[in-house]
Amino acid sequence: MRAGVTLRSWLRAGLHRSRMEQDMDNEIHFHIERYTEDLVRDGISPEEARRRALAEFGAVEGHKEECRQAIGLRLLDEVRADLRFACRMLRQSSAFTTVAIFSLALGIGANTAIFSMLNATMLRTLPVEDPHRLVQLQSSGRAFRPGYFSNSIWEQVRDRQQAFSGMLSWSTDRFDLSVGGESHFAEGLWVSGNFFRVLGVPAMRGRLITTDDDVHGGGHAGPVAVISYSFWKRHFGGDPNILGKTVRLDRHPFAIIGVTPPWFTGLDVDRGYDVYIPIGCEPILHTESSMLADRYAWWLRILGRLKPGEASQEAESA
Amino acid sequence: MAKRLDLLQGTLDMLILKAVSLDRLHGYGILLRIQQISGERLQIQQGSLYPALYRLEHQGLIASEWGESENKRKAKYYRLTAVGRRQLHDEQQNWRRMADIIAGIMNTAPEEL
Repeated sequence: MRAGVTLRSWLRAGLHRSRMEQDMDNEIHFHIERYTEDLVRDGISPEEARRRALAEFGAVEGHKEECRQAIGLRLLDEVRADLRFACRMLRQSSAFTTVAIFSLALGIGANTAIFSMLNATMLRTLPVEDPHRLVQLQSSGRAFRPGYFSNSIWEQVRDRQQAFSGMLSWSTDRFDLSVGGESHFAEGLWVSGNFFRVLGVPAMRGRLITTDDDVHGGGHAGPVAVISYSFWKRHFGGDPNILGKTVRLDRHPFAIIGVTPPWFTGLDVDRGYDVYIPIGCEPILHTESSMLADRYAWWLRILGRLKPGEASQEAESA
Repeated sequence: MAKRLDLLQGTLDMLILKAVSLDRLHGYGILLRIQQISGERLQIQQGSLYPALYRLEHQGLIASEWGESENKRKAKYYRLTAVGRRQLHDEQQNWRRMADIIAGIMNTAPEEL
């Protein structure tokens, strides 16, 4: 409590400095005047009384300085004087100042850049439900393309695994949006039927891709696509009747069935995606050389969601 | 009138606390009160009163507010705080013990040793 009082007193004096000086003057003048009056009452002439009152009070300025010191204002004054001096010196040697400011700016800038990069790749987590329970499958032994699997392997893993509560696979691609003429590209993601369910991402509009859509050559609903929130805003102007509209990918029509929420930007924290289409629709785009049956096309990455209470080591051995 | 005694080093704070513990007083009033109680036997350097008041207020032992004096003028009045009251109590006890010890030493006769 004592420290609080002291700090308050110091702040009050520091912030309302002129008011404090005024108060101090008034207080001392009051003292000297009262003493003068008392002396006059004792029969001393006014001039003599004033002279004696001033003399007996002592050096007014000296006592005022002691008052300031008593509440620690001296320190404040000295710091202020030092700062003023520092600024003056910096202004005088402008070349030195420029170099100093420049190197500071460079240092701060570089640090910020590196931190932003680290933050995006290592510190931030995926914008999905319970991201620390997701593990990515790695191929053992000497793989042709480490971390990537062919569709036949993915389908076997998907149908036989028991270690995970759910698995998904995906692959990045880029689709041409134009109907003819100049090409416009959309960042795309091939996703397995349970992609959104395993990640725990809900639809903001319509519905998301399910296992029924992820059938070779397209499911009952035909070739379908889910678009991202930013693509919906950017490419369709946030059209409220977006569901059922068509988006052409590499000149093949896909029916838009849903929009993902703004916070979901795919499985890479440092980039976003525009469209999500089922892996099963791949033969529609690549009629001549589909990768679905190609045992040497290593194009899919696989994620598994650990069962509650299971460590990743157990899943690894399974 | 006997020659006035100079104040013992370090005792001014205690005397101020004692004076404002009896009554709400302005600076000049504190000076008069101490001189009155001491029977005009103490010599207090008037200006040195104010640094002591500022220090005590800064430490939270006394609090001040502006009010009107007896002759209708604005004056800064001081009063004792709860913390100040405890401090005064402690200093009073210390002072009594110190005075006893010093008196005991000074009154020692050769045959008592």
